[in-house]
Amino acid sequence: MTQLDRLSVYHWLNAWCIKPVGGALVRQEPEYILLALMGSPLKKIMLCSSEKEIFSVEEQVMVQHSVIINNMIEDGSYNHEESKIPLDCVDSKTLKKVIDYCTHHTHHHNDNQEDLEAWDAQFLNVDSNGLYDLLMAANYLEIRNLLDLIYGTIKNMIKGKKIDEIRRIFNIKDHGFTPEEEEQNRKEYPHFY
Amino acid sequence: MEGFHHHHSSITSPFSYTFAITGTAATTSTFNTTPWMNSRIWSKLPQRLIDRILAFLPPPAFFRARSVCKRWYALLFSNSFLELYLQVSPRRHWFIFFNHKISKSYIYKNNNNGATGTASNHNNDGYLFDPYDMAWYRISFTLVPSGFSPASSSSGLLCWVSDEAGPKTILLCNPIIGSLTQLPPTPRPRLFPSIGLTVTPTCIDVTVAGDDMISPYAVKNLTSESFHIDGGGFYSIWGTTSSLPRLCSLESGRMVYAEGKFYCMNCSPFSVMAFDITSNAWFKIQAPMRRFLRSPSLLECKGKLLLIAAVEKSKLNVPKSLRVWTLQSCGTMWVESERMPQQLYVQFAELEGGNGFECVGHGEFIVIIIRGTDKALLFDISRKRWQWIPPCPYRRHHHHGFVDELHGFAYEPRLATPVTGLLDHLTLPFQNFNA
Repeated sequence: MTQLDRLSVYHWLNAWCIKPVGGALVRQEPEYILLALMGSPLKKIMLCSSEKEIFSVEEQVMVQHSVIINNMIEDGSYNHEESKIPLDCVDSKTLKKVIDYCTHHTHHHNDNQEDLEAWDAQFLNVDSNGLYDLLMAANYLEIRNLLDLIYGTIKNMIKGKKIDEIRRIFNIKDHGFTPEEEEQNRKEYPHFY
Repeated sequence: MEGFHHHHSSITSPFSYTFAITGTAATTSTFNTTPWMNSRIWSKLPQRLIDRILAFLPPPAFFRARSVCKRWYALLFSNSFLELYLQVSPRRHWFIFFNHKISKSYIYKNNNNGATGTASNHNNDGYLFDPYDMAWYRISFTLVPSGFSPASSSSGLLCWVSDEAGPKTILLCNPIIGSLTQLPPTPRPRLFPSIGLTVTPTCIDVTVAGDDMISPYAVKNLTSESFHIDGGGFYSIWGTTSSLPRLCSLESGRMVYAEGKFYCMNCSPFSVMAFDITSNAWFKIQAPMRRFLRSPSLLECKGKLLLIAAVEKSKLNVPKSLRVWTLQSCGTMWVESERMPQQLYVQFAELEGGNGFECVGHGEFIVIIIRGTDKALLFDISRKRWQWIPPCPYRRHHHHGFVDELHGFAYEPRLATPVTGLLDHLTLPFQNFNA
C-alpha cells in the first residue's frame, strides 16, 4: 500500500469510528489487519546526514531494513518527539538512495521476483563512487538485503577479471608468492592466465 | 571448527581440478560484467569488506581469486573467513554430472586389483554445471577410491556408495576442499539399494533402502536402514530399520528429499514410495496419470515434491507432452503445475526418439537429459524459461559417436561443510574392521 492509500484508509477508519484497539480492529478485512499489525501508519523518524540534512521517513520502513536503527528504537534511545538519528558517515545523496531502497522494498515486497530484480538493477545503475558509498552506508546501517544486492553486483564485476586486473583494482602491490609458487598457481589453473 | 585441512606450509592443493569456462557460456546477468573499476575507490575498502566480496564469489571464481595474493590464498583455511562465508554466501543451485558407470564397475569388480592408477581416475571426473551462467567446469574426485559410485547429494556434500554386493560403505565427499568422510558400513548386505541423503548445518540423515540380499543370489526389496547424527548429541548408527511395503520395486538410485521425507519412484505401475524419516515409516503415493507416464522422475523445488514425466495417451485426443506435477500439502494429491510448450516438445521428442530421458532438479532449475545424446534442456521454474544447455566440453566421445550417459545430481559447491565434523569421532573405531 502506498503512503497515500494508507492515509486514506486511516481517515476512513477515523470517519467511521473504527479504531485500532490494542493492535486489533473491530472489522476483519485484510487491509485493516495489515494496518493494525504495522502499528500507527504514519509514525516517522528523522535521519540526519553527514551534511546535517534531515530526512523524515516512516519508522516502519527503516525498522524493517536496518538492524542498527531497529536496535536504537527498540532500546528506547530514540525519542520520537525530539530526536533525530545522526548518521555522520552517510552523505545526503547516499542517505536518500538508502531510504529510497528501503521504502520501495517495504511497499512492494509482494511484487513478483522479476519486477523487484528489475527495480534493483535500475537502483544500482550508479557510478563506482556511488556504489562504494552505498556499500559503506548499507554496511554501517546493517541492511542485509541491500548488502547482499551490492555484494552480488561487485562480485559480478570481479568474477570475470584476470588476476593482474584484480591486483590493480585493490592496489595489491606485493602478492607474497615466490616465482615458484606463482608458477604452481599457473599450472593449477591454466585457463585463467 | 572441525573438518578443515590445514596446508599452510605448501601451495600444492590436496586435490586437482580444472575450471574452465566454455566459449559459449551465456551471460544472464543484467549487470555489466566487466566494467572498469577505479582502484582509487576500491583500494580503500577495508579488509573485512573485501573478505565479504570474496565470500560471495562462486567457487570457480574464488579459487581463481586465491592466486591474487597470499592473504587471499589463505582465506580458505581461515576459520573466521569460513564462518563469514557460511553466513553470507548465496544459495547456488548448481548440478554435477557423472558418466554413468554402475553396471561397468559391477562387471569389472573381479578384475579390479584395487590399484588406483591415474587411468582409472578418469571415471571419477565430475562435470559441474552452473545454470545461471550456463557454464561447465570439471572436478576430479581423485580421493574417492575405485569401487565406489556417486549415489546422492545434499548441501555441498556428495555421497558415494560401494559398488560391491554386501554391507554398503558410504563416503561423504566435499570435492571443493578435498574432504572425505566414511560412514560405518550398513549391517545388512545389499546389491544396489536406493540411497537418500539430507544434510543441514547441524545434522546428517542417510537412508539405504531395498535390494536386500537374502542369499548370495537372491535379492528382494524388504527393508531400509537409517543413519542419523546431529549436533544435539542424538545419533542412530544404522540402528533404525523399517520394512518396505510389499511388492515394491524401487528404482535403484537416489532418493529425493522434501519436507522431512525421502521419495523414490516405484515402477510398474508407477507410484511414489515415501519414507517419513521421523516416524521411520514407508508408504505409497499414487502417481498422477500413472498408466500414461514415460520416464518419470522425482524432483524437489522450494521444499515441494515434483514429478516430471512424458505423457502419452494414445487413445484420446490428448497431445503428447512433458508435464510437471506438484504434490499438494495433503501428501496424496497431485496438481499439474508446468507443461513443456508444444513446439518445444515436438523438437524434444524428435531428439529423444523414445530412448527416454533423465531429470534432476535443484532449486528453481530442472535439467532434462536426453539419453544417448549430449543434449539437455534447462527449465527455470520461476522465470518459466526453457533453454538448451551447451554441451559439456569435457566429456569423452567414443569413436562411433555414442556418448556415455550422464547421471546428474543437485549439487551446491561449498567451500566448507563443517557438519562432517560430527562424523569424525564416529569413524575411528570402525576403521579397524575394514578389510
